[in-house]
Amino acid sequence: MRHAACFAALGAALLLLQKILLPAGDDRLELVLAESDVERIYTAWQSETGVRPDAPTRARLLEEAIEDEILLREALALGLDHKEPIVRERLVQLARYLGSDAAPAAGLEAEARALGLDRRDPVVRRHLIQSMRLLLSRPTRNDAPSDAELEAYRVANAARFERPATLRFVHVYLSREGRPDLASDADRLLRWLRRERVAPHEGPALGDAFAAGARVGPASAARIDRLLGVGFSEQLAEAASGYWSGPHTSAYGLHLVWIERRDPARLPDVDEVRNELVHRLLRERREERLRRSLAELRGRYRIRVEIADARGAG
Amino acid sequence: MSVAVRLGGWLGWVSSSISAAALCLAVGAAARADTPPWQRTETRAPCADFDTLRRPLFGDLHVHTSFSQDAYIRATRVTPQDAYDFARGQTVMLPDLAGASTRPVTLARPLDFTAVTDHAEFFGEVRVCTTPGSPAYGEDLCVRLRETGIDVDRMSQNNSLFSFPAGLPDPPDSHAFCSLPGVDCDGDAVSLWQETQAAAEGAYDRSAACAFTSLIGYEHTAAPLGAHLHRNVIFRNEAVPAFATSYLETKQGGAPEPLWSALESDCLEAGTGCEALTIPHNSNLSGGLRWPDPADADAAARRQAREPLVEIYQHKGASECRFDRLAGLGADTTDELCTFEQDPRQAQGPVFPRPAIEDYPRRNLVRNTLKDGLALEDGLGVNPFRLGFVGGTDTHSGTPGATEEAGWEGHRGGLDADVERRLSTVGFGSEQARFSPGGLTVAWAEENSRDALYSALERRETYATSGTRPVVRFFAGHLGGVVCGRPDFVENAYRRGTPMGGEIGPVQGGGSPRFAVLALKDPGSPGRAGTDLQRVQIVKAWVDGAGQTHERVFDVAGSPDGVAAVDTATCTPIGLGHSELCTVWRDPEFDRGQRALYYARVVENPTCRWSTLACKDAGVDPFSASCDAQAASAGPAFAACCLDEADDPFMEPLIQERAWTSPIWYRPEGVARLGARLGLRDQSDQDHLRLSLTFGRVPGGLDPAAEDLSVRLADDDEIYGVTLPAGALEARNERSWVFVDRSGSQGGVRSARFRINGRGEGKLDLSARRLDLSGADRSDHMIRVEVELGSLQADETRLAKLRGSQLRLGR
Repeated sequence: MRHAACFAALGAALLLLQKILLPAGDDRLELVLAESDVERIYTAWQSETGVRPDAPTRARLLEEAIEDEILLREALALGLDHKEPIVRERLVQLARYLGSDAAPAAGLEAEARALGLDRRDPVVRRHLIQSMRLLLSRPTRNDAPSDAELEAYRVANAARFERPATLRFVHVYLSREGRPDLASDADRLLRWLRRERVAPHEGPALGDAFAAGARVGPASAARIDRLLGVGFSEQLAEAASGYWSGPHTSAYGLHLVWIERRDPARLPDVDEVRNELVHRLLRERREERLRRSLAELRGRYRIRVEIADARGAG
Repeated sequence: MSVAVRLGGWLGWVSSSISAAALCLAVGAAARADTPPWQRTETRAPCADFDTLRRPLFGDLHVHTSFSQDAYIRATRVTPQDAYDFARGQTVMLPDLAGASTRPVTLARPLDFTAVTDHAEFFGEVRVCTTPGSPAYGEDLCVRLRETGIDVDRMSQNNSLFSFPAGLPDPPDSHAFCSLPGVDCDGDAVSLWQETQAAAEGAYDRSAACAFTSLIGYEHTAAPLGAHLHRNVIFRNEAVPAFATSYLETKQGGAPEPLWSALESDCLEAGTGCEALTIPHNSNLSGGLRWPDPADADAAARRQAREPLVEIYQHKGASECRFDRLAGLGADTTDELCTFEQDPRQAQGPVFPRPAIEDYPRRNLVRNTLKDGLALEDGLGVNPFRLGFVGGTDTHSGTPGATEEAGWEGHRGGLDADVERRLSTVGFGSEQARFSPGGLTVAWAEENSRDALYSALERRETYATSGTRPVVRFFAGHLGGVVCGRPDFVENAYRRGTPMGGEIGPVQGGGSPRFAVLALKDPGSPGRAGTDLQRVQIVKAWVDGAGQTHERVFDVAGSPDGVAAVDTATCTPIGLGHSELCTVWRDPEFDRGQRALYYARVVENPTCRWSTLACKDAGVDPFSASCDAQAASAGPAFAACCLDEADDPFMEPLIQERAWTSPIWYRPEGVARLGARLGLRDQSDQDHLRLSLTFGRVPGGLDPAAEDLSVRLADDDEIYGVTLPAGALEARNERSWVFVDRSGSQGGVRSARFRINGRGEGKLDLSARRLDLSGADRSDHMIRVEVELGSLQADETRLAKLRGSQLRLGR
């Protein structure tokens, strides 16, 4: 090599390089990213983005390249190139393109393999890498989380799943429109509701029609405010249940409120949020399985990155 | 009740695994008296806040994420799952000018429901281009797709490469790389579609809290020559087709019939429990091609069934109507409020010139199309254009419901990542300053569940808003007891009238039906008060005896010359409007014989448009006499800040936000009167039914003796159904037909009588005894009544009241 090859400590590649220094007798497979490979990766990035990759980007690109190479090798080891019709067709096509006169498809395919196209052709490579990645992350029936696992996930992610405190109430609405003595109307009606012990379901008939309904909830404070205006729920914070309270001010007028029930914030049971639990857990598992499998695969390789240019690696 | 739904892939496994638990919850709460007039098709808990009289639920049915190619190329990296999280109040990151996701946005007010509707076209291509390791990843087209917003011109070019098959009358099947060995675009499309479904499932609250509903959907993106024939497909529940049929598969037959055929075979008739409807949008950019006349009555009926709604407002403008302020002319209207949020173009492609108002295709506009539907019904017997209204954002940043004018961060990913871009002109000549944050859909639903929302969409009990959140009720009919100020206003309206989206017939006596509007202003969001209402209008369209269509806008509540204004220095409101408006109105020009429709438009006081606020922030004041000079020093992008009423046909620094309710159609042959009594006994098979229904007009040529008579009553269960075959009704004379059967062998019917009275009305009386009506819930609840006698059809849903052992409907 014209340039002195150096083993650079480069971002995440550092870890990889350490592995190279492992004692002799190492039975791992060797994986070398040659200087020309590294340069090709940087050039491809530059042609895509118009800028030379900076240090963190270079580290990431090399990481990805190493990962791709491992995935390709594993795919070949599993014989995916023989199982995937798409790959076989491509190899036949390539052999034909290269002018082979072997007539039967099997012969063409063999010829392409003899030329190493099953490893070198970019389309075959990409397809095998992607197939391997999907294979490693594909959900299986074994991914079905047990109730205990869902329970653990629910507790670990309580903030995401917690249900806010809710209120359920009936309100007697007095519209600001067309009521010159709104406040005194409300005071008078409130006294009457209390004195006559008007039942909650009979209350709304004594006020005005509220377009969005006389019964609200169970609803969170945020939802109540979306319905009646910011700050309405706060006025109900101290109000007693089973009692006419008010007048409370909304964006529309005054309201006399009978709180039917209050429920504190709580973490719902697994069954209540099972679909979201399963969805998020499964997604995490797929990503985690892919990460783990890749790490495990990496452990089988002794990886060496040849960096040609110290400034480039800087 | 629930149906078993089988799905492929891991989503199917998820669905089936939750069924058992959800079913237990459902059974546990089965004693509730909350009975809707639609079937429950899902395994889920009933909602704790069920309301028979329905509640307004706010949502967005038009949302693109990184799964849409035209969003991806503009650097949007928000996934469907992220978009649903955003709708529920969480923060997402939008791309900056360099394409890095660095701009956080959060919804001040979360939504109740959302449908992520990514473009089905090139679902596969986006994935193969964005998955490192995909065979086409390094292909030139893919490289360009991944480029993010550095060069606007380049991005526009990319858009024309990757976006919908616009500009080509006969688009290629798909990009060349799909035919590369190893690139299986179809296979990838299936997988992306499954991930779309999975994201919706993960966001759907199936518990009794009913905090959020996701609807599964996608956009079918037909754009021959750039004419905008796009439509969203919305599914009722998780039972959806294996493939999202896109324009690439259906283009040979044009749009939309092949899409409907695909939905019919893969969904509606597939026996899987699948239901779907389609919602067109941006008719304002359709080059006049959106709504051609249907070929015949069957085609008209199919259109009405498949497509009950239109998105009347979104990011790329209003489609209701159009008025050119400078020309003093409208597109078949004199309504001056139709300058609101107009896109000057008539289509997106370069083929269509930007038209003068006289040349603007009149059927680009919803109101004109609705008018023409009335005229077409006179000839066809069916109205092909019975469209209710929804609104949406059409965000391509994965931000459903981001409709607030103040602080709007754009809807086009990197393409409008900063204020200069939001005010500038890019790709296809679109002047981004004329775009807006878009609108919302409000559905009147009993609860926040997929079944409830889909049923609301299906019956058109929806309204669109221009992004704010007023609450609007709209009813028509007899409306006895419906009086403003009376607390039983809504209950009486559901007992004796029809809500938005429905139809009415003549009222007895032949005078005008009554129209009731009850509107509340937007209550505001944290840090921002809602704007007062200015007025309520009723827009009437009708067709006269000569087949001519007409329209008229009535101010029915509030005041058109309100005292409210805006302080142009600070954009704060001056003066008051109304926190609430209510009216019960009669049409002073009502003609019993003329087909008509009515919708309410609720108009807020003026406020500053988003562009006004953004320009002012940049030191360019649209209200200032020196606006041009300020704009010149701020930079070329700011020229748009100074467009105003004096020099532009549409742009206005002050806007009036608004809501449009779905119309209520008046049909002379419609139901004039409905009454029913269900006698519910404690012994089995001892129930009885009396039904009386009057049609406003009997079409000439109808022979009741030659037609089947079918009657059906249902809530969430079947209550009663019978079909008396043709011939059962025997003619007594020319105006009276009778069926008598003391044995009650057919559905317990003892007698049925149909009479045509002196006014030409047709009155049906039916009595049935010894029935089992135990399907009817013993509570006040909505019951749906369907009657069919030849071309006479009624489909009415009314609030039934329980009186002792009788359920009473109607009067």
